[in-house]
Amino acid sequence: MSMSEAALIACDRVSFAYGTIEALIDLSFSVAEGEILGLLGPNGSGKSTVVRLLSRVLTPHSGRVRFAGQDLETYSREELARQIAVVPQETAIELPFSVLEVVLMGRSPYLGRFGFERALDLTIAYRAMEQTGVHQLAAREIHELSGGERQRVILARALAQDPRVLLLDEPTAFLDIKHQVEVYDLVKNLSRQSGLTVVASLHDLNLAALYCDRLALLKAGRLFCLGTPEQVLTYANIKTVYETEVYIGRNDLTGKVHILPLDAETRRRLGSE
Amino acid sequence: MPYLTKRKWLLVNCGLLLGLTGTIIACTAVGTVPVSLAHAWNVPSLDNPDYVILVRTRLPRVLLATVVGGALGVAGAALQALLHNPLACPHILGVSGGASLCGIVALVVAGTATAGLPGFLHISFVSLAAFLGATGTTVLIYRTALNHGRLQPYALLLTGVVFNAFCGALIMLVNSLTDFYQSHGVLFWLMGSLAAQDYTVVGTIGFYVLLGAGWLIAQSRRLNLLSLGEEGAAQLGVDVETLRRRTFLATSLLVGAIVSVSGMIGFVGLIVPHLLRLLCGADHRLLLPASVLGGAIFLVWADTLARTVVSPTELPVGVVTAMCGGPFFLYLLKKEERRRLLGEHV
Repeated sequence: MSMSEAALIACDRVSFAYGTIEALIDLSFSVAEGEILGLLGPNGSGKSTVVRLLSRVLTPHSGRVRFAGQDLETYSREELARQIAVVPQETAIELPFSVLEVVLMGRSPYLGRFGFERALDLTIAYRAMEQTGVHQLAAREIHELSGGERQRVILARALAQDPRVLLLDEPTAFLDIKHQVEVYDLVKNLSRQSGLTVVASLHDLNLAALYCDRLALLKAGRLFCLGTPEQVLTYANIKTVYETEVYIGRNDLTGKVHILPLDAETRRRLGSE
Repeated sequence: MPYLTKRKWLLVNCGLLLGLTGTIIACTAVGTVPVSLAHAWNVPSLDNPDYVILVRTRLPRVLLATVVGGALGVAGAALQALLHNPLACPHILGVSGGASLCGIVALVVAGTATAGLPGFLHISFVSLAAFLGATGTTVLIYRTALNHGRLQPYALLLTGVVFNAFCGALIMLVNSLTDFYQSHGVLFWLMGSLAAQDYTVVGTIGFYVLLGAGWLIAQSRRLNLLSLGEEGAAQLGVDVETLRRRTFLATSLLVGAIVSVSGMIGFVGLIVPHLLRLLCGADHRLLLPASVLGGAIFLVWADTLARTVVSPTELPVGVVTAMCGGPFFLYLLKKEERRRLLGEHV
């Protein structure tokens, strides 16, 4: 079986523009069931646009997005919400919902128009809250929480959707290192144990190397390269795409590549050698 | 329980319904002229002055307050959900102002022509004009406050307040140009009044309010999801564009219908949903029906106060609601500010 046949979600020659500003150009990649794909690239390279296209918030101007072999457009929004869940960078909730109420919103694609949540929905919501470690906050108001707690509530909401695909848009941008690692540990665990497919846009190259099976490196809306972390995170690739020089080494504990930034003095010294 | 159960839904709504029934009875009995409920009940004839005062004067007024208050309460709650802003209400956003302006213009231009028609048609005509005014204003305010796809909360409120003042001025202008005493004075449109209405008015407006409120309540679960933001709601299966259009139309229908018979009564849609959220949480499946009932209770009491507190004269009911609502708005504004600051620092 070829890669594209086994793909759960895939972009096929997708282009998209915001007005006249081209955001993505002729992008193709596919993600297999149970795989974790990281989207990397500088600011404005189109990572968030990919997440929006995969969740059908945006529709490609040309090309197709496929889920389980079918065009995304052939699904109803509710059907998609039962398959694909999204964790955005930040969620501002202005009304005083409780944590449990926010997590239960993840069950709404499974309810009828006037439906009240059933016992099953409650069980699933509590399990999701336990997974992200926010079950003790269930009765708290969502505004009272810190940024890190709020983000884990939003992750629990996404898990309550019981999705096959989880899309993460820099979900840990505002979290400290402990909570960053916790979020990705959990996501990786779910992927390995229950076959959850993950597409995550990341800023942190080291987290990408640590947790992703494959990486897609974007440059100005085009796919620059796609492969394993070792193949993608090279000195040359990073220099071309991010326009800066870095130190690349291997972490003895994890066996993964790691990337360290270099200051101007070191870069100058390297240049003269 | 930190979430909405069926039991809680029934408990709160039945409680409020009971409260509303009690309010209607109590406020019908209260007034400048003392009347005997028992005497009116026992001798239901037009020769009995107690009966005439209760059934012909007070009850229609109390019922109109019920309908208008319910509409304002639920319209406020829905607009707050739609605009992600707990400070929104039809009055502050200028929706009532736009509706009043179009209502008064319709009356001036064609009021005499339709006044000969059956009561419900005449009211519907003015309501339709006010509905168009309300829809136009809502869309205008929304577009103005939308910046790169995101709603700017303060731009929204500012635009609304300015637009309201502008409409107030135009209403004064129309009033002075036309020497307009057709059915109400200018004070009716600017401060709101529930005086001198009959059952035809109550019935017609009640019909539109039921329609609008029912339509909003049918969207309530989707309105919950909208608090996750437009993208968040879409990713949970909501067709956001349709939801937004429906909510705009339903709130405009509500505001258009009631403005044409009660003028601009402010702040009900601000105070009532806020207090109810403290009492029973933010879930719109409960908040919307509860705001209908709570808004009705609030406005019936406010109107009773307006017609009795300086008796034998009467205050416009809008004076009473604004005297509660003005300080309340400032308090909410401060509270929001604090929460926003806090949210940035934790």
